[in-house]
Amino acid sequence: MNAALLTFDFVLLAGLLGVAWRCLASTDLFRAVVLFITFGLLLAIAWVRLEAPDIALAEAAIGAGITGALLLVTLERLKHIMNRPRTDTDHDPAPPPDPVASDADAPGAAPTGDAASRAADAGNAALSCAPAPARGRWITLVVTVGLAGLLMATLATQEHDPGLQPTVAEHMDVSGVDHGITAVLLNFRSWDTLLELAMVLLAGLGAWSLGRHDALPARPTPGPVLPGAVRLLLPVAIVTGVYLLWAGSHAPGGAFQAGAVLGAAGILVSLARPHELPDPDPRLLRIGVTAGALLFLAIGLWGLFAGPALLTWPSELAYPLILIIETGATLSIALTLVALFIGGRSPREDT
Amino acid sequence: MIESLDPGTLYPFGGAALFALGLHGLIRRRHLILRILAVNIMGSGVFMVFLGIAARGNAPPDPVAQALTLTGIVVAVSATAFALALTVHLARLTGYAVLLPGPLQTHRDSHPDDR
Repeated sequence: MNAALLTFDFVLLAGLLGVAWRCLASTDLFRAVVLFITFGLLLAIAWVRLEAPDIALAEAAIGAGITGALLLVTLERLKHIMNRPRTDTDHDPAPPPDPVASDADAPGAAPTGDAASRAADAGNAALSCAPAPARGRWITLVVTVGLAGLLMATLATQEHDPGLQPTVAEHMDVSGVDHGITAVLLNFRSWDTLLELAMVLLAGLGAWSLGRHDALPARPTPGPVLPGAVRLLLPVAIVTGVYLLWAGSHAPGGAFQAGAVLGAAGILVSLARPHELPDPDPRLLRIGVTAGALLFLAIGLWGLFAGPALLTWPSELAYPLILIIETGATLSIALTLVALFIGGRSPREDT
Repeated sequence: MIESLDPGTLYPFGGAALFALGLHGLIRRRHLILRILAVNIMGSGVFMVFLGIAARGNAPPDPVAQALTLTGIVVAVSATAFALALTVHLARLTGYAVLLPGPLQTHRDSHPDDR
């Protein structure tokens, strides 16, 4: 073991734990979100150290990129909601007790102050939150440190086990692809991937069921920089996404990474799009969002009747089928991520 | 001792520490955004344990564990997005982004789009 690499591992782990601690201890939500994005990027480096380049790609694109964009737009929405002038102040029933303030006997807990002082620093107050109350500090610390110790003790006693790597290597020739992870995801354990696509779809439907979306609160004012940057970045992002999709059969890459890159491109476009443009046709959007899971299910059912079994493919047809499924999945993941960023159904749907 | 400290041995311990750290944040912090971040950090700790164990030894890493982690990351971002949408909805209805005890009291006008 190289001493320099070992030092690197320790520094990286210490950095991850430190960033996570500062993120969760923060009283400023914006700072917490930025620290969380940093955490995701550091995590991607850790995955590279663990010989998992696929996961590193996914973590950088999804864990840090898309989640970060979702968190930032949520903060903008929260700020917008908290700062909305209250029209019903006079005949408003007494607001429910704020547990953040009432539970906190620590100094510096959120002031419940009068409406005037609330409004004065509303701009900052909307994105700040009370520090954790002092009560229960030690019991939580003891419980979580004890849990960490137990987990580590369990991990230390664990015997080395080669896992399923030899089994996967043995069956690679019937999988239709040359990359172990893609073979597992889309052939050996395709149930997982189908249910995962269903999960993505479910999250999108859940967000849509909460109501129609507002215009993005912090829509950048139309200027030359953002549309220009998007014009330059969009072709690069599309080529990268399609390359990742195609590369998945023989190298790190695949539908999820490709979907995340294309979804990020879609988020940029939705930010830079002129206000006057109408929203895309919601029916097309619905078809696109469900296409991945339905296509996967249809091909899986075809496997039940024409092939070996449900969700399994004959090895000579496996490669084209996997590529079709991955293309559908990429499209659906990208569209769902953009839809989740925009949030809510399209206002055009009810007209 | 130093020879046995390959990443596959070291990182699962880091993952356990991250999980406990996230749990601490989840219990201690009230704001829902911070709680969502805490759950994500706990999830990252689990992924780290998985990938660390998969990378143990000199053989190539276990692709099944890596595939499950990849699935986990996508499921985590979906669940996070839905949780964030619920948080915004709660804030729109109550004016607070924390969970209040007792039945939901709507003390702001509901959003005009929700009629």
